[in-house]
Amino acid sequence: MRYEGKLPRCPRGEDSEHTTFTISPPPPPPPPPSTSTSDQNLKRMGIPDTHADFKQWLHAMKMVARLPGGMPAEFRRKLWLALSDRYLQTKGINWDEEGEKYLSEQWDEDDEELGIQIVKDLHRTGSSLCSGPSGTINQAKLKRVLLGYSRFNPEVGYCQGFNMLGALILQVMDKNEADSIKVMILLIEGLLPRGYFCGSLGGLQTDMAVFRELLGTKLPKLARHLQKLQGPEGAFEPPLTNVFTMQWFLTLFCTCLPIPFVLRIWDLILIEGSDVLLRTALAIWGLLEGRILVTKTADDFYCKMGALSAELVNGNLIDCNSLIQRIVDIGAIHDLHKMREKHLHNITKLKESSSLKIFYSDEEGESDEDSRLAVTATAWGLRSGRRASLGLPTNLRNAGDGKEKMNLDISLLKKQYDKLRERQRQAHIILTAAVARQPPANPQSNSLQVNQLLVGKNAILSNKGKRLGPPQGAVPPIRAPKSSKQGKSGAPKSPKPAETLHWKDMDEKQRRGSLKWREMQKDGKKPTIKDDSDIVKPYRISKIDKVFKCILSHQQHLGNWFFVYWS
Amino acid sequence: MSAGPYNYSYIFKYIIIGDMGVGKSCLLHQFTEKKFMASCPHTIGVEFGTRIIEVDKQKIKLQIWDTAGQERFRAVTRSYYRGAAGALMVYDITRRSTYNHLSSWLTDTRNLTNPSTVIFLIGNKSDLESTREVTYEEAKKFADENGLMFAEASAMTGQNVEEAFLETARKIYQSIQDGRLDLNSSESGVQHKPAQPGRTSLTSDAQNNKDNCSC
Repeated sequence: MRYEGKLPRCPRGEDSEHTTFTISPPPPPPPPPSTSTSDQNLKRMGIPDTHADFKQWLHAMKMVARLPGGMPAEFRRKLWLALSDRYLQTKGINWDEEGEKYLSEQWDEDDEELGIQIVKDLHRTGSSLCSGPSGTINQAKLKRVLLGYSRFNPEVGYCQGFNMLGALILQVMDKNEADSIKVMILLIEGLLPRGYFCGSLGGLQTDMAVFRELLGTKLPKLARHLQKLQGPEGAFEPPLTNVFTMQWFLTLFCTCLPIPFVLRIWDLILIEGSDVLLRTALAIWGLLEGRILVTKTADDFYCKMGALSAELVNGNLIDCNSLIQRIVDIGAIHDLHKMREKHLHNITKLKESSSLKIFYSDEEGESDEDSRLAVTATAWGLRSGRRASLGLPTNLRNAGDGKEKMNLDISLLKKQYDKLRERQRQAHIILTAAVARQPPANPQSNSLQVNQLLVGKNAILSNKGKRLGPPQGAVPPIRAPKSSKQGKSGAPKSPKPAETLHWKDMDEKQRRGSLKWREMQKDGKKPTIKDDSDIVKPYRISKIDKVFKCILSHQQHLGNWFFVYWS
Repeated sequence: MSAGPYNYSYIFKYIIIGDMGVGKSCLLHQFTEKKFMASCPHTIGVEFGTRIIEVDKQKIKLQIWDTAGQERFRAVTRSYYRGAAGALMVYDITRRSTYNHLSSWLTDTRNLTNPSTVIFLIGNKSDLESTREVTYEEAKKFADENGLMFAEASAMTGQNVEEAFLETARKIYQSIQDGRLDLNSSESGVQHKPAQPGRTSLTSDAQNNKDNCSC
């Protein structure tokens, strides 16, 4: 039997022979390590206080970072620290007061749980910092830094890969723990987009998608080739660049390039922002393009990339200055924010189609982030009948009116709708008998006039009007006959508005005859729900309706899932 | 490694899943490199390894996707489940919590792979008998109830590692021989003689199943 190797990993040594400068041997660090030396640093670097002066100073730093050879090691440490201090300052965080508690030796329950995860990864950080004679001491330091950061931001907590980032930061910061936490805060919260390391890593997934779009415009030939290897849309091969960009972005390249390269790229990230990640990825793929264009299958490509990754890690493919020059030459990505917003929407859609979460309990696999977004969607969906008094949820009002943002919310709404429907179905089974015993509620009196598409069964009310059964809205009330509200504005009626809920009662013919939203688009018919149109822009409403129609068109498919699941 | 003439007849796609720290990457490393890596760096996102094996005198290339175990990575690793011919589901016999989470891993696998995907349950770290928390019998019962193949293995000693990967391949190969696995479906996780670039044929089934919602 023959074997071929695993994708090589960066040895993450301290220096490599390709270095154009070295992380200077750390001068004897002045104890105690926990006290920040930021004030002196700020003064020594002559960092100005006023905004205009700061911008000028930053520009000068940018020039230094781009110089051949980059920034001297000691300069780097001060720069990173100064930028971190400034970030904390702008966020109104008084580190002198608060910093202490992040490094406290007293552990609470959450810390225990996090500590277990962190310790599990410490010995497999792969950094030279964590091995060798002082490995144990450094591992303990790294652990305090990681725990410190997770105390600072419990929502992000500890993400696998932080150990690698933390180890490198500790190295640069002369093993000063407090300073290292500050840099982590700046990197993760100040520079990288939200959701890079927490929730379902939505921010990371977005950037992977943004990158693919950039690849299409900047390296179209390569993009086309990779698309061909991946196969037709809907094939079961994930986009070929994903496995690499995912790792590059998560570790900010520290597992795929020699460390001196990585430090210079991090300088750029700190000074110029997170678009440097995408530019670096573009520079690398550009470098590999010729070698990739000769691959003939996806498997071929992966094998080739395995070999090329090893070369990259060893710095054999390009020297540091040339790589930095390429990154600089690509130039800032100006509409990055817009692109990220747009792709967030697609990510949500992907999540829906791949995770089939409607079968899951609420607790399972649903992140805080998802839940929060879902709540937004629910609130929006369920309030449709009384939005006039409540207004849109703040986050939607402030959403910058971007259509992309709306798309995201629509997707979430759709997802939430899927869930509601499944719950409704379950509730229906369990509560059929109970419903029969309850006096029918007057649908008009229900203040929660749920979107008509959710309408089905009575909400279960006791005589006192208190809820007995499921939460309000989970089992929708009887629909008002003929949905008279729709007619008001004279817009064409949405055909068969109730069919979504009664789909399983319909015979197959009817179901097949149900309107698909695509057909609606073709007809150019404007969908309905008119009573809120004075508040909500029409396209939003039409979008919702389309989403529901879309769900409708999938109902037979959904029905199959249910069948499989329940049988 | 080169794109030259292929010296294998099939490519089988595998995934390795399970909680963090159960030894997924070590199992893969033991299988591809035949040695134990004590301080194996944890997986970031997804990584892959390959090895060519032989089943019934047929050379088969295993393309193995190793996934990060931390819960938050599931969203990004899920896309690699699709089209897997084999799934190695790993738990740590010395940590009951990793065993308790199997049903959730199984649900994911069942939902995202095709019905003929071979699932092999591996109880790793069988060398650590003194700290065992999950008995062989209990896991065997779970495997039988769910129609999974099962073995306890040790990435450290190499015990049963080879067997787990090979048994899975044999079962997949058997499915092909029996005609239960449609090689034309990109969902099957199997490619026969990868002579043509990419995968050009989608069965009508796969087309029906794909979510073509473009709203």
